[in-house]
Amino acid sequence: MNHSIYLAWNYLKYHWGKTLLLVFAISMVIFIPTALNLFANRGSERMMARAVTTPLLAGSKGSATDLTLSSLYFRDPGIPPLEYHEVKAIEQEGLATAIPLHINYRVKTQPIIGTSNQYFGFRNTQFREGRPMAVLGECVLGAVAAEVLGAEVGDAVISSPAGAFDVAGSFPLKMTVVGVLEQTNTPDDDAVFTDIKTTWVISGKAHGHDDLTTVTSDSLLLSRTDSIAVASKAVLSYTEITPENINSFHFHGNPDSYPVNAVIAVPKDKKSELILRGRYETQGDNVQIVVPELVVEELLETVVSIKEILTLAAVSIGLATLVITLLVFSLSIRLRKKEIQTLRYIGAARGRITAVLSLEILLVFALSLLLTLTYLLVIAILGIPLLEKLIH
Amino acid sequence: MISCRDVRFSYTADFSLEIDHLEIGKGNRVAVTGASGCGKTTFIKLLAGILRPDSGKIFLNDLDMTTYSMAELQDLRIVKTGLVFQEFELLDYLRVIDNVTLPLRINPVLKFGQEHRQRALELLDAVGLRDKSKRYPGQLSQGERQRVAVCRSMIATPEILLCDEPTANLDAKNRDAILRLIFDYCDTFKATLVLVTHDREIVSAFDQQIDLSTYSFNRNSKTDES
Repeated sequence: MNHSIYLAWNYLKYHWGKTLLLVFAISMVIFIPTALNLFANRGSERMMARAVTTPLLAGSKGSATDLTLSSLYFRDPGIPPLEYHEVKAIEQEGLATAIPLHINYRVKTQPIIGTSNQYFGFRNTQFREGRPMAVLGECVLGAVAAEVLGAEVGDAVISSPAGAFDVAGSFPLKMTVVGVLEQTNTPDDDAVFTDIKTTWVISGKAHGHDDLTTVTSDSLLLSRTDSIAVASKAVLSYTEITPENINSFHFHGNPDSYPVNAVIAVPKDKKSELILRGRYETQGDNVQIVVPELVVEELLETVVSIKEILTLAAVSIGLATLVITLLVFSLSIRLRKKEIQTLRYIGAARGRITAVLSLEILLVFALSLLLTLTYLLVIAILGIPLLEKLIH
Repeated sequence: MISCRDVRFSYTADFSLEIDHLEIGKGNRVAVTGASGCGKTTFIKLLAGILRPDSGKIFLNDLDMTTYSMAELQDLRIVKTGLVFQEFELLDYLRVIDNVTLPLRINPVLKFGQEHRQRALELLDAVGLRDKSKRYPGQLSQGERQRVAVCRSMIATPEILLCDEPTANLDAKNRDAILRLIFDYCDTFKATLVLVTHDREIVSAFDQQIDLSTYSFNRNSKTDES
């Protein structure tokens, strides 16, 4: 056997160009469907893990998929917002803890998530440094967001306008970083968390400015009576919330009507969950409540179908490549007829010639397999984090 | 001792080789001559057991080769005979040293050992190719390649050397070197030599000459011992 391997190996080594080409082609044929499966499975696992740990989501009626994806992965919401009183409504009856999510704004490319400090406990997120938000204008960064923004505790980050022509639609608010989260390899890593009220400040629903009762400049006032002072456009809102100006921040209108994109509802128990689901399913108003696990499961069924089609295509290509490879070997044996004849003439056992030729094929497949494993190892080291980023 | 009795072989209706009686003594040097197409190569293949005669008997040291299976003939061939071809037939993907030791790697009847590697180097040394033992055949000249082929035929120390026009593609200098090498081997190991040649100049160096075109081509054969 050693001699057969020696001869087979020498043949492959001498014809290294042909060997490499075959090894590369075969390895790609094995690698593509394997990697596809690996990626799809890993992606599905990640998506499912996030969905499974989120019991219920409430949002405006519309696409359950949009609601789930925007709430779990902090994508731009595709459905209109709820009013804040819905958060209170869920909590009022003691059936569940309601965690609001406001997802409209960004700091550069990182999404600003307006929520409550309960979110960190719910996601079981640890603080790498610092603490949760305590007052208006404070924020906590996910691990990746901190890295991307180059910010740490004590630094400040500024919210970006939602669009180039939205200068008046959202205020660029300077927020103080008070905490940085441990990396979790979830979308939380990319987020800038702040209190939901701070996002309302960004949206202009709340603001702070100089106390008009003490203003002396007439240019800042349109009119003044004993009880009312009407400000002119010259009165500027503060762009940073500081201990000195925090008391001047106030909300206009009823905060119950302020926007919330989604509500994570964490029921007290299974019974509470069923009551909650039943209520929103029968009420028929503008609110829907979904089970993210079921929504993601449905979504993944589509992904699995696509994966199966792709796998089928890859397997078909693989079979074709296999046939071509065998054809190459069979043609090669024909071309080597004289060499085989010489071996027989000088006394080679028939089994030995067959063994050498078979080992050449086996070695090519073994090398292909080795190369495939190398690809997969590289993918596991470099590709999976990349995939996780994509999933985020 | 090689002996042929009433051997008949034909490829087609146009060609047949017939040898009624032929004896080649142990240690003899026999030159096989004849016109192109008269069956010289066929004769060598019959003696080597590569081809089987249609009828008749071929004896190798009193062993009737015609009763052997092809597999047994291969085992017999690799132990008893060394073959040299006109076109050298070296494997291009093996280095010179590996080409020489090839017979020891292709049949389990022979066991490859370190001593064979040493012997291969000695053979290459004897033909002036030791320093080229790591090269591939494609990096050698015609004469050098034929010397490697001759070394390969000798590696298992066979009793019989069967050479099919080994000097046909060589110049006079290389021809003489190859013949000297083959003759030296036969002298040292008392080996029998059957060598096909067109070269009339070298025939006188042999103990015996068989002219196949005179005796065998589509005729009743006879043996001619010179």
